[in-house]
Amino acid sequence: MRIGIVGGTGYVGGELLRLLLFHPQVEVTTVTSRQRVGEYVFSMHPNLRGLTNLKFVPLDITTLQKKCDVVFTATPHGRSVNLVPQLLETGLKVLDMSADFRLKRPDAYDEWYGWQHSNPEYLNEAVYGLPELRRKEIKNARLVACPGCMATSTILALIPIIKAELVDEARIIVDVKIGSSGAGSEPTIASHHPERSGGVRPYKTVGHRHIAEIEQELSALVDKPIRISFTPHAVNMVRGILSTIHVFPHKPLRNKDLWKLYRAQYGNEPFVRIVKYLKGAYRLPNPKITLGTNYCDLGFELDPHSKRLVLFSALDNMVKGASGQGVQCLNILLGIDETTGLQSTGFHPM
Amino acid sequence: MNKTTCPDCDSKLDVPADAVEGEILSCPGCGLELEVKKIGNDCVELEELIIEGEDWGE
Repeated sequence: MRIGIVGGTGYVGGELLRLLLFHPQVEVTTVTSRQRVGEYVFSMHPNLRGLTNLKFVPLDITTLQKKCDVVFTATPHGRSVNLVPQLLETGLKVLDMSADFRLKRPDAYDEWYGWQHSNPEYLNEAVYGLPELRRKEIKNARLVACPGCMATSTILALIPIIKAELVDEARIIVDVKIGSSGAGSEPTIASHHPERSGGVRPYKTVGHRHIAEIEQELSALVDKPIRISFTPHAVNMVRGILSTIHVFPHKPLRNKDLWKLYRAQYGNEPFVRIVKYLKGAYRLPNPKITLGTNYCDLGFELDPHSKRLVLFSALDNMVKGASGQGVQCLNILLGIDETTGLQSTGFHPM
Repeated sequence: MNKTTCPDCDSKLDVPADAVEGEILSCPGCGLELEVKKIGNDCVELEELIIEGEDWGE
């Protein structure tokens, strides 16, 4: 199967290359860039040196049509919106890594992204690419809209709880810590090392864009509106997300009830692990243990004092939060083992 | 081999056929440590052991 990557210079593009170059059933034939045409891909992604002689080429729809069967679009938000329909028209299948086709309501783009969607007729067709939720739809999709990293982490933690209707749906409080790679490869004053290093910076503390897709997907589970209180923090890591989610059960729960619920939901999922262990240094999910892997680790703790249930969800924002999840969707689309090319165990210690 | 379940997380626990009373088993799901209090034909009685808490003063 021949793969193209549009927007190969960014971190998501680089991570797609890292995974796909070792994927036994695909070949990356084309990697496009606007600014690096003619340069080797390892000039931007030094970890790929010696593994490929691919060079960045300009974006050309006809070339992609000739040389690819499936295309990943790893372009910034707001750029895929006009590109993806052109690719689909040529018969290519598309996995879009941006937010441009994740939301179902066209007016949600005005509300959350501040721009009007120019191709709303594709929104219904696009499948939200979270395999744990939409595996069957992904299999037959022409366009997969890969979820946001913090959305993936939050949704996976909440699915069992929301489905079972166990908690007060007006009080779901999500506190996220995220590493700097989540901001992409374009530097800003806030990502400048002296500013970011050593700090914890709350940002977009209310109204973060990922709220829209989290609420969309969780509301669809129970066919009623679910509202999320969500605040992210930029922390001193390069990769990784930890979401700490506070919810308030309607009635007392036991550990056993929660184990049962999470096992029922995720017992057969290849990339979701339940981490709630009584010994050692890693008793609950820690993003460090997921780095470089496609795992999302989930854990929970009951707080009888405040009658609260705390959920923990950790993943690598570049892998399960982006490119790894994209490759998982690709595998589903191709009808091959979902774990193909994604079986890394990560590192310990690191 | 006796089969039972963890009292906290409900994971399946295999108690070795040659386990003896007083032996400590560890749950593979949650890490709870359980002492074998009684063992006989097709029956096993386990008691939860208290594990050190995690607050290291941070």
